[in-house]
Amino acid sequence: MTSSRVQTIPWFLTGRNIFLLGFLLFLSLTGSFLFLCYEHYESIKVQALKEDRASANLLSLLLEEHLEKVVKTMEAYASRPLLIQAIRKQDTTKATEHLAKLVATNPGIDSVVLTDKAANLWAIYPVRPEVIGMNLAHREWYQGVSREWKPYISNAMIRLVGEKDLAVHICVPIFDEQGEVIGILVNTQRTVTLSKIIERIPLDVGARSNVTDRKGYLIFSTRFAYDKELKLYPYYGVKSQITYPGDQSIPLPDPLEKGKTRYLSSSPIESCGWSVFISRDNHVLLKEGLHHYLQLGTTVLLIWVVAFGALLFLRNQILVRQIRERLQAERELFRSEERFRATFEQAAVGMALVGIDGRWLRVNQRLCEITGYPAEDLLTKTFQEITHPDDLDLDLDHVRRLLAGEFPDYSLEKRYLTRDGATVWANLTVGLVRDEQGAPDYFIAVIEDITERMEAEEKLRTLNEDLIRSNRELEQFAYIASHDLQEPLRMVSSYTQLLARRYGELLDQDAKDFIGFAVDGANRMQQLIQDLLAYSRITTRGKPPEPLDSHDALGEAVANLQATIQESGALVTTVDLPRVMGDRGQLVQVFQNLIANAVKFHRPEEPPRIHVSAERTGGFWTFRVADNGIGIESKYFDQVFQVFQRLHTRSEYPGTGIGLAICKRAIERFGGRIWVESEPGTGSTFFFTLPEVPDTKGDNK
Amino acid sequence: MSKNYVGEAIDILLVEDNAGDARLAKEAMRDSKIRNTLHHVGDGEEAMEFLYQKGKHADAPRPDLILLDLNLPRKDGRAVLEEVKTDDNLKRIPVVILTTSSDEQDILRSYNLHANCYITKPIDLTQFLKVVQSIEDFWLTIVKLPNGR
Repeated sequence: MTSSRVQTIPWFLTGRNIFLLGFLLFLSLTGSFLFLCYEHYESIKVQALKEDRASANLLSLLLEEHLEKVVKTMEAYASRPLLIQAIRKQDTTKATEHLAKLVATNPGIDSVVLTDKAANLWAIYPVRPEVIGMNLAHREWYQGVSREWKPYISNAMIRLVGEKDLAVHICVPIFDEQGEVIGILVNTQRTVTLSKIIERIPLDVGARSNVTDRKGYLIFSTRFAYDKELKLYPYYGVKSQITYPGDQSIPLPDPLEKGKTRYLSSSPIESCGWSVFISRDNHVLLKEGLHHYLQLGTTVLLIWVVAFGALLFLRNQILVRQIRERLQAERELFRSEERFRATFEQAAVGMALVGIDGRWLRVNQRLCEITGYPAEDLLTKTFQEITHPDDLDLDLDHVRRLLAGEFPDYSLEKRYLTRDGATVWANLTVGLVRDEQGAPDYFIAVIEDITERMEAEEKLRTLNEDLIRSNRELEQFAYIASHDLQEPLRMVSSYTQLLARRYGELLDQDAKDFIGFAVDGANRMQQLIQDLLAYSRITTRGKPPEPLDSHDALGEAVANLQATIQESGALVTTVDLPRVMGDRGQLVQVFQNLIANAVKFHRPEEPPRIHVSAERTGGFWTFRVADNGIGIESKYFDQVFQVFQRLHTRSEYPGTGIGLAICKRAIERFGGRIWVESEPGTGSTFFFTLPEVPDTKGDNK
Repeated sequence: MSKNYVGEAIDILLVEDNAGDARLAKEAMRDSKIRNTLHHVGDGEEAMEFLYQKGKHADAPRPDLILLDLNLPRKDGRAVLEEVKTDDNLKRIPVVILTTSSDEQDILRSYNLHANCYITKPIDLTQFLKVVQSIEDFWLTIVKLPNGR
C-alpha cells in the first residue's frame, strides 16, 4: 500500500461543525455589522444634532439681530422731532405720513400704529379708518411696553385688522423733549417676514425649525400650521430640560406620528424671551444611513459568504483528497489482493489462512489436493479435526507458544488425515498475523506435502535398520562360526588323533595316511574359519580413524614377521613414513600381510628385497610396498584382492588367500584405495592410500 | 616327574556341556602326572549344585580346581564364574576357563571376573595334551605357592 497516511479533516470542519462554525462566523459578522451600524448611526446622529444646535443658535442670532434692527429703526423714528410735533398736535395726517415713510423705507416693517400713552389708537398705516380711536390697552403688548416704558416685543397674536393671521408686535414708547411718554409706536410684524429670515438657514431633510414666543406659542414652524391661529408648540414644556449652552439634544416621542422619535435642540432669543427649536426625525437619519448600512451589510454578507465558502471549499478539497487517497489505497489493496490471490491459488504448496480457533478461513487448490477435501468442505473444518491424533498435541503446543509470542513463526513435520482416511506427511510452517491493536488475528499456514520424502526416509530408515540387523546377525554368525563350527571340527580332529595315538600300532600305513588327511582337512577348515573371522573383524572390531605414525606400524609389522624374515633372508628397507589417519592395529596387519606376501612369493634365486615408501597426493598419502618377487600377471591384478582367491596351489605357496582381501577391506574402510602394479618375474608393487592428518591437529609430520 | 610328586589326589570339577570335549579332558587327565579325580557336570546350574553340595551332589567334595567352559546351557559359564568369585567360601578355588573361541570379549569379561587362567581349547590333540600339561603346571604353581615359602 502506498498511502501510508490519509490526511484527516480538522475537527472544526467535520460534519455539523462546519455549519456551526459558519453560523458563529455569521453571528460575529452580524454583531460587528450591527455595532458598526449603531456606531455610524450614533455618529451621524451626534453630528446631525450638533448641526441642529448650531442651526438653532444661528437662527436665534439672526432673529435677534432682525428684531433689534427693527427696534432700533423704530426708536430712531420715534425720536424724530417732526413726529413728536405731529403727535403733540394730534395731527393724524402728518403722523400717518411719517408712518408710511417708515413702512416704505423698512422692508421688515409691515404695518405701523400710533397710540397715545393710554393706548388709544389714533394713526395707522396702511390706513384703516375703522380702527381709529380704538383703545388697545388690554393688549399684551401694551402691558409689556407700559411696564417700564421700554421697547417690547410681544407674544404671538392673531391680527385684529387686515388679514387675520399670526403676527407679533414690536412696540417702542415715544418720549417728548422732557422725557414724558406721549405715545407708543407699534409695528405689527407678520410672521411671513420672519419666516423669510428663518428660511435663509437651510436645514437637513427631517429637521424642522420652530420659533415660539414666551408662552410657547408658535411664531414660526416648518412642521405645524401656525399662521391662522395660536398654536402651542408641543415640545415647549421640555424647554427647561435643555441646558444652555448645552450640547445635548433630547429624544422625544413624535406628537404627530405615533412610534417615531424626534430629537429636540433649542436656543433662546434672549432679547425677547422667544425660543428657537429644531426637531429632527431619527428615522430620516436612519434612512440617510440606510444605503450605507446596506452597503456594509452587503459587504459583511459577502465576507461571510466568501469565508464560509472558503471553509466549505477547504473541506471539500480535503474530502476529495481523502476519497482519492482511499480510492488509490483501495486500488492498491485490490491489486495486492489480486497478486496475493494469484500467488495463493497457484502456489505449488498448500496455503491457508487459519482462524485463531483453528478454522480454515481460506485454502488454496493445492491444500485441497493434499487433504483430499473440496474447498467448501475444508472451510467447515478446523485444522485440529484433520490433524493426525498423534501429532495434535505437538501442533497445539506450538500454536499456544506462537500466540504467547515465544516465536514469530514455527515449522514442524506433522501428519494430516485425508478425506479417505489416509495419512499424509506435511512440512507445516505457521506465521501469526496480528491486527492493529496487536491482538492475534489469524494464522498463515504453508503446508508442503512431504509424504514421498517421509516414505523414502522411512524406507531408508528401514533399510538402515535392516542393515544394522544384518550386520549384527553377521557378527552373531561370526561368533557362531568361531565357536560352534569349530567344535565338531575339534571332535573330528581330536578323536582321529586319539585313535592314532592309542591304536597306532594296530594301524597300517594307509590308515595312518587317511588319519593324516582327516586331521589336515580339519586343520585347514579351522584356518579358513579363522581367516574368515579375521576378515569380518576388520569392520566389526575396527576402531575409528585416529592419527598414527605409519613408521611405527611398519616397525611392528616387521617385528611380528621377524622369524619369517630372518629365515628367508629378506631385507625390508624404508624411508621416513608419515603420520596418517587410520586404525593402527589394522595398518600393522596391512603391512604385515603385504610383507609376508612379498617374502612368501619371492623368487628362489634371489632373497626378498622389500622397500616401503610414501608420497603425498592431495589429502592422501600413497604408500608403496615394492618387492622383487615372482610378480603377478596383470589379468590377476583385481582378482588377488578377492576373498580366498589364490593364484597358486597350496603345495606351491601355503595360505588361504585371505591376506590381500583383509588389506583391501582395511584400507577402504578409511576411504583409501589399494591396487597392485607388477611385472611377472621382476616384482610387484602394492599401493595403498590413507588420509593425511588434518592440519588442525597440528602434528602432521 | 612322577605321579608321586603330589601325594593326595586332587578333585577337579569339569564344567563342560560337550560330551566329546569332556571325554577328551578325562582321557588327557587320566594320563596326567597328578593324581586326580575328575568330576564332570554338564551345565552351570549343576556346577553350582556341586559347589554348594546340594541335591545329588550333597556328598560332593570341595574341588581343588575348576575347569569351566564358558558356553553352557541353563547357567552360563560367566555367571558361574561370577558366582564363584563373589562367594567367600568358593572364591579361593582356582578357575581355569576353557573355551573354543579366542574372542577378546570373552577373555576380557573373564579377567574382569578374576578367572585365574584362560585356555583356548585347541583343535589338535597334541596341542590339547599340551594344554593339559599347562594345567598341571598351573596347578603345581598354585599348590607350590603356600608350601614353597
